[in-house]
Amino acid sequence: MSEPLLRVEHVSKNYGALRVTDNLSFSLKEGEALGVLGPNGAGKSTMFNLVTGDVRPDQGQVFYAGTDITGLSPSDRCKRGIGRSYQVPHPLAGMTVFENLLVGAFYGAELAEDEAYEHCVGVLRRTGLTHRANKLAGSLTLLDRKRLELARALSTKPKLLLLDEIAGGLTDQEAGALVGTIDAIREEGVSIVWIEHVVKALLAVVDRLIVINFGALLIEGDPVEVMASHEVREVYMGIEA
Amino acid sequence: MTTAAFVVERSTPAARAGLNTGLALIIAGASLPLWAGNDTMITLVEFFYFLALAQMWNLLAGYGGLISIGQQAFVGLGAYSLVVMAVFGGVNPFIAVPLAGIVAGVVAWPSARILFRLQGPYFAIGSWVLAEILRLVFSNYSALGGGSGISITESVSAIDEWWRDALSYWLALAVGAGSMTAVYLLLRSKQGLALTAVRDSETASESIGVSVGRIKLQVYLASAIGTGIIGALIFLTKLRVSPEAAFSMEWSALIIFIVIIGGVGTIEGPLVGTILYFVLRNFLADYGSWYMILLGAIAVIAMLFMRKGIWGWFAQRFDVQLFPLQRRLTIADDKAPSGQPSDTQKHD
Repeated sequence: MSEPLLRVEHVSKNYGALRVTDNLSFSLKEGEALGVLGPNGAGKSTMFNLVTGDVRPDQGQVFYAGTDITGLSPSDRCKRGIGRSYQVPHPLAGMTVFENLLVGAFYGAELAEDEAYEHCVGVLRRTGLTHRANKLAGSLTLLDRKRLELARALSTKPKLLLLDEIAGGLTDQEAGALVGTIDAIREEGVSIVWIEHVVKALLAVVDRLIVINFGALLIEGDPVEVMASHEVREVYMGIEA
Repeated sequence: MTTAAFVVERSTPAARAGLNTGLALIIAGASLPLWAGNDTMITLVEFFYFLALAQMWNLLAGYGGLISIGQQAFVGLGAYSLVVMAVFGGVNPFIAVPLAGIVAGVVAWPSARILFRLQGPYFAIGSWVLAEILRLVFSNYSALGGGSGISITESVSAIDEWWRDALSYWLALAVGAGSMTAVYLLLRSKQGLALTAVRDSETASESIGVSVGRIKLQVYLASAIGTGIIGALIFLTKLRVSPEAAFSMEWSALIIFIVIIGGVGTIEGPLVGTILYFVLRNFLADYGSWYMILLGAIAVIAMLFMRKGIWGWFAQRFDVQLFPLQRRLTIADDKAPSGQPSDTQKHD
């Protein structure tokens, strides 16, 4: 039972001469919410891609629920319970919002038709997309596209949810509503890794924080302590330690 | 959270009317040999097989994202399967036509293992190379007539002429209407939902549990089998098979023209494109090479200004669907019309 839900071990990834992920290791307990910070280009999204299988590491392994999943395809990982949103939304533009979710419910969560409909209606409600259900995803505003990213990840019934900057561009009120939604998802026992520049929203949800810089783990620990640390001040504000 | 009543609708009145019209057209079309002239029948046979070829390429390229310029590989394989079965095996040619699809599928399977290692334009070139290899193999195989080809007249001449023409026509109608029906049923199914997702974004599809590689393989095989059947049908009506004609690049060129003009990645696009192609051909046939120049110019204009083809533009402009594919959701306790997003959001 002490086995963490997600364990990333000494993972490295190079694009040519550029090392985007540098010997990165971290883990996530079941039910935990982990926040990820780091400057632009630090390799946060690449780290997600390594966990979901969109990108294969040059070195290192990814373990999920005690199994080595490094060689699995993104769709197989999704079926095992890893759901994600993309920083740049990838709507299935020619399909309606409801159909976008149905794909996840049918293939990711492997639900039967009636269960899938029921589940997707529930997801539409909690993400505030009911009134957009029959709209083509390609016609949505950026804000609704971001909502769809979250909704579609939820449609796959994830046990581990990876969120990539879904609060960017929201008003304070909207960000507050989003925090409420994510908190509720967490209450149901879903583990969360959340990359976010909107620190206020992030700190309202996460138990623990890691900071990535130049593809490597800079610091990890309690959110308040991490935010107050020399390392973070140095990276974000250029203040000498 | 209370589970409110909701309804998922799979059809619209307009679409039901469209389907009924389609059925009526097929039934009326089936009676054609009883009253229409030979010219009409020959044109329609061609219309049906171009429609079916376009539908198969659209499945492959429009949905599967596999841009092939080598569909003539399977047209030719279908044609030569017909030759082998009908001329050498003594099989009734009308039965050999559907069986030709199996042969095309059997060849497509191992070829996919190689071609699927190639991406995008490399896949396109690879598919063409496969067709060229097959053309050369059949050109050098003298038992099947080599480069000058082989006639199948003898195998069909046993059948009375009226019946021969009528059977060819009915077979063509079945292939044309069958390809539309098959694609329609596929797209309406659960698999069709995944296929449409792959059309829109492979990355997103994969991230929500759709195995993109498996879907592409299935689409490639289905398209090869369909194209093989059509190829056999085409050469059953032409009565002579030669490598140059059967494995001609022109098949792919015309199919691509039809689908691009009509609307790639829609079920209606190939139908609209085939109709347009026949209209253009009919009016421009007397202008010799100007005809080809005009076809090319139209294709270029469509690609520049109507990227989704005529149907894509039309469907977007007027929000219509001839074939009901969508799953429309109505939630009983959520009758508030769109336009007040902030309202809905507050409760979440």
